[in-house]
Amino acid sequence: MTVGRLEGRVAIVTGSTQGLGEGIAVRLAKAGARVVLNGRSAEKGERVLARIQDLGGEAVFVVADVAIKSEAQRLIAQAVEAFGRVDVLVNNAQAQSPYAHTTDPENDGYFDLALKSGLYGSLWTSQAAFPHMRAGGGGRVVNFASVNGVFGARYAAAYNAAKEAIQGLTRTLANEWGAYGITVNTVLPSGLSPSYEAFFKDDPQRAEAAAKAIPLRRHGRAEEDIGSAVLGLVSDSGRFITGQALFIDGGQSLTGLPQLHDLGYAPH
Amino acid sequence: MDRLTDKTAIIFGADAIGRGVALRFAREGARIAVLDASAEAAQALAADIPGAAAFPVRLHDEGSFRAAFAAVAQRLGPAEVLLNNPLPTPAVAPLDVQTGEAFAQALGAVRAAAVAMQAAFPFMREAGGGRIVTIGHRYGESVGEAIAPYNTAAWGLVGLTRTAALDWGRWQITANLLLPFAATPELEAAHLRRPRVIDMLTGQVPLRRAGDPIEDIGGAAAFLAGDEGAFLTGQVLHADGGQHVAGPVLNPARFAG
Repeated sequence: MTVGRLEGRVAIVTGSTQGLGEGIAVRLAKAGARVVLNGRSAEKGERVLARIQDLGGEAVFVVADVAIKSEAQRLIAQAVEAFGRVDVLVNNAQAQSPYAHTTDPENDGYFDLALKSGLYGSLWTSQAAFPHMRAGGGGRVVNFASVNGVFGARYAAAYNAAKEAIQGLTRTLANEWGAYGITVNTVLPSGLSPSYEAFFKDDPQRAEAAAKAIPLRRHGRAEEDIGSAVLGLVSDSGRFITGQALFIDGGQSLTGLPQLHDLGYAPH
Repeated sequence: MDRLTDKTAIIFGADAIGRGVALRFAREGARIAVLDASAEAAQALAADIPGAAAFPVRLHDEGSFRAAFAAVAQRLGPAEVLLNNPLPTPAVAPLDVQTGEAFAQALGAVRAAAVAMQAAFPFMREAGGGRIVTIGHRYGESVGEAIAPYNTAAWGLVGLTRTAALDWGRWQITANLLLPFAATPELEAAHLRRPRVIDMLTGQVPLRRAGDPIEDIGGAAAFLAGDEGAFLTGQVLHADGGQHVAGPVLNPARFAG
């Protein structure tokens, strides 16, 4: 493990009380970053906070729902209050909507939820972090899209629309904020999130078959695979990478994506 | 700065990008072997890196690649990292007058990249994994005018890289394509010819500069070659300061003659 590559840096990871967000937060903390954890559940947040502190890392937890503008702004303000600066912002938070055929009349609500937590949440935290990154001479924003959005997975229009909108936001931010030394990239991860694990829990054969469909023949680990790739983007090695969409998926999307929703799998 | 400690990295293609990546990999702790069709070019780069060795190869001779990889394994240890940097200088001419030789040369570079990968494969499989980083070009996603053979080769590298990712992933061998925008001698020459065009192009880059071959391009290559690249395969990674989202691809026809 490489230690100390983010020494002195402050990294905010939204939605980091479980799953991929937790793995990313732990990975960045192990690289020496002071980490701002975030989520809607204080209980879950305290667990991850304790985990990082047990590793000798420095972190705080901020309860905030980034789907609400004032909360997203407060998250950034509290991060600055705690650590004095913002170098890295990882916009991982995304509320889940139920499966729905696109003609389902409930879609207005689902779209509202998906767009507020994913698209607007990423916009609001980025806007609030911008002056701090500019003042610090640069920064790194990592936003989250999904292969489901890219391929238009069935019954997930709200989620897919939010994720693809985030890609448009990312490229625009990359174009606008590069002049201030701020890089902005999208990652499209596929890894062992709680919903992913729940899907495979009672069916090891299915898990094995799914792993076989991935060129690297294994599922992505939250910390070692997804977290490490995010570390690559936000550390020195990612200094000239911006506007990029990076699939962290072991090559899973190279051949196209099966319609997993039809199998009852909730990948998001 | 220790991401490639005790790993052997083969640099195939000793131009400015190959040099930058080689110097960066060496700084990250790798043992470096340089392969090039020009023995002089390979030796000149190896001479600048303590402990590095040079091995000339013949582009159309598969045996020369296999022999070079075997010699590297014996001298430095089996290669777990391959920096594949095969593309030649584009032949500029409209498609109607492009020659068969120009196509043979450009597509020969794709073949040489494939041969280098094949030569690396048994060593990587034996080692329990490997990293192939191929230097491509943005002409392999947004074509440039009047360089049909080069465009075709650049697109070919995408297909080759993604196929290597699919075929060899089961052995934990990753294959990715890196598209740089860097301050190379070619860019400097173009700047001498058409300073306003190149300044405009560079000014449109979000990060407002051409990349440094060691810090920027080498850094991104180290990302793919180190632990951080463990779950990345078949990807096209731009180390270009965001140029690919910000401006048109450089048009070589404007700098010819």
